Amino acid sequence: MKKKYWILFTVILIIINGCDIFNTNFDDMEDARMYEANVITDAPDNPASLKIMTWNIKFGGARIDFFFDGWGNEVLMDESVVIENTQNIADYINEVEPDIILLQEVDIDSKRSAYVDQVQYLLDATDLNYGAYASQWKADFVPSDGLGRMNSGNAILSRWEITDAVRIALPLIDQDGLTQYFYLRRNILKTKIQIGDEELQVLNIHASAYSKDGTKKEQIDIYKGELDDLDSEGLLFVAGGDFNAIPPNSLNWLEEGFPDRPDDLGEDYEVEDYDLTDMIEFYSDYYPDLHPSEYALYEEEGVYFSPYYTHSIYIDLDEGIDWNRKLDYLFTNNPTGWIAGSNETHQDTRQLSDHCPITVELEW
Amino acid sequence: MKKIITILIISFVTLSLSAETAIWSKGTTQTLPQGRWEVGIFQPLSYGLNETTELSTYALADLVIPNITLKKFWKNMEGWEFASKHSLIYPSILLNTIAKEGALGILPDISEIPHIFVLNNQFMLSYRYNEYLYIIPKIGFSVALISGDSDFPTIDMPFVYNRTSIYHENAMFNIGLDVRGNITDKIEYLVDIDKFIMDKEYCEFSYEHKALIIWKINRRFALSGGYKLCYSDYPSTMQRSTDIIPLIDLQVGFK
Repeated sequence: MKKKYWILFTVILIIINGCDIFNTNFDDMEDARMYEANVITDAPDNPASLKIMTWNIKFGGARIDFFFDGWGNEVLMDESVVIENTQNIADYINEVEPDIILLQEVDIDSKRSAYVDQVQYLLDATDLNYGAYASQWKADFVPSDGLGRMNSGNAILSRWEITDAVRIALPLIDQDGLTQYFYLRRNILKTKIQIGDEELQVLNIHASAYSKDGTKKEQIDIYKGELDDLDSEGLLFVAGGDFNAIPPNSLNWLEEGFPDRPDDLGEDYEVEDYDLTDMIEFYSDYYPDLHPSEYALYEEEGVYFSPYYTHSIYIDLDEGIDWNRKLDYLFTNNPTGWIAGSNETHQDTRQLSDHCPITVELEW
Repeated sequence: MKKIITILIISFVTLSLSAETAIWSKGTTQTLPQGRWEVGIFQPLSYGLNETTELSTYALADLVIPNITLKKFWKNMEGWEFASKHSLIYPSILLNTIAKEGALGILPDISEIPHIFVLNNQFMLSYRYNEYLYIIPKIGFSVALISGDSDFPTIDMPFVYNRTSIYHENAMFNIGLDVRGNITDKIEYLVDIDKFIMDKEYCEFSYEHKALIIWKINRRFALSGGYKLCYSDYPSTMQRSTDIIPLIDLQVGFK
């Protein structure tokens, strides 16, 4: 009799899991969601160079104190706030004029960002024409912290047509089944962009943060494998994203050391000790946006100021708290690398997101 | 004023031109026979107050969402029956309970939940074509009386959104049609469709459809099974979708 109940219980579990009631699962590889601007702006067939940008835009949350920061309590934004913040991001993009952007933490259908489709919004508010999107956090309803419906992920926007785009699933962090079911599902967004007669492979990642079980390293290694495959096929690529990893020659890597939160914050937040080996192979095999020797110029133990840092959870310039680590990168296998001196870390975007964009140019 | 209310209540409970009761009569114009209790796993606890009046409440939910419904059979005339249902619901305790940090935090913990009293009124006509076919058109409206500061988001879930959006917009209308009848002496079918009409600021429409087979095993037990389908508009334009859930219930009756 007992055996019968166990079989019934197992069947019910399989049905529930198989039904994916909250629609959170993905295939190992699936087509990305494609976008097009409402008005297509002319793009040159044979540009002399391509300006590439990567930016984690924090779903248009700017510097609002959210509950997950550890000291805030905001959960949901009003539509007017989201529109204003996303427009500020669009304005900055228009000022910098990148040809291709890799975006992380873009919401397209989330309660927290008032259901504003930020990919479509940015395409319509800039000269970028085409987009591809791969979700990394999707649920019809997240029954936690009042989050509700969620669809947030990575996107690639381009002036030229994206001819192919796939979402490649990455390993999940080791968590209990229920948490994992509703949690983030990291991915690689892999696209092909047709520029004149040439084709450029563009890849984007947002690797796990706070992964103490080696998952982040596993994700980064898979990304590296994808790039190696393209390189061995002789295909030109640009790849980047928010790796949640610091450069191999960083002198500060203990999370407790980062001046990242207000003084009056308790200890109730998760810390992450970075591993200096995470990014080594990218630096050794491909061209980074920033040469390690240039990065090393401003590295000093216990000092958290560098014109190349791209991230800070908390900023208070009056208290001397600014961007304090580099987590965002761009790489290419172009035989001549990037155009020398073209790299920029746009640190004047402090109020737009908790990451700042970086840009670098590729001769075309 | 007190006198008028007392007269109204007495009239409401006693006035009718003829009585029409039946066991396992949920969703019909008929009420439970006087003194009979019925309850289901997902159905309310119902009691036949007299031959034309039935009281019901979702007893298990009463601790967090106090609710009471009065169903009144009014008239039977040349095959047409008329009844109405009136519910009073106080959802504020439940909303406060689910406004929390962490797991099962359906609403943000910073939500401000006011006192909300929802008065739901349903009016049903039933036409008996024969014992195999009853046609029951329905119309209803709900009003929410809100007291205190209110700042909490809508709950954008199928079957929940259309029932809770009234906590923000104060009024909602619904129309619907039930078709039901006997398949055999003990087995009955029910097919219905309802449209909820809400404020355009929140949602333009919501449709629900249900199909049920009810097995009236005896006076003590009834078993029902089927599905419920919802096609709805939500604040997210990408969410417009059809959702379906299975329905299964065991009901128990006394007397």
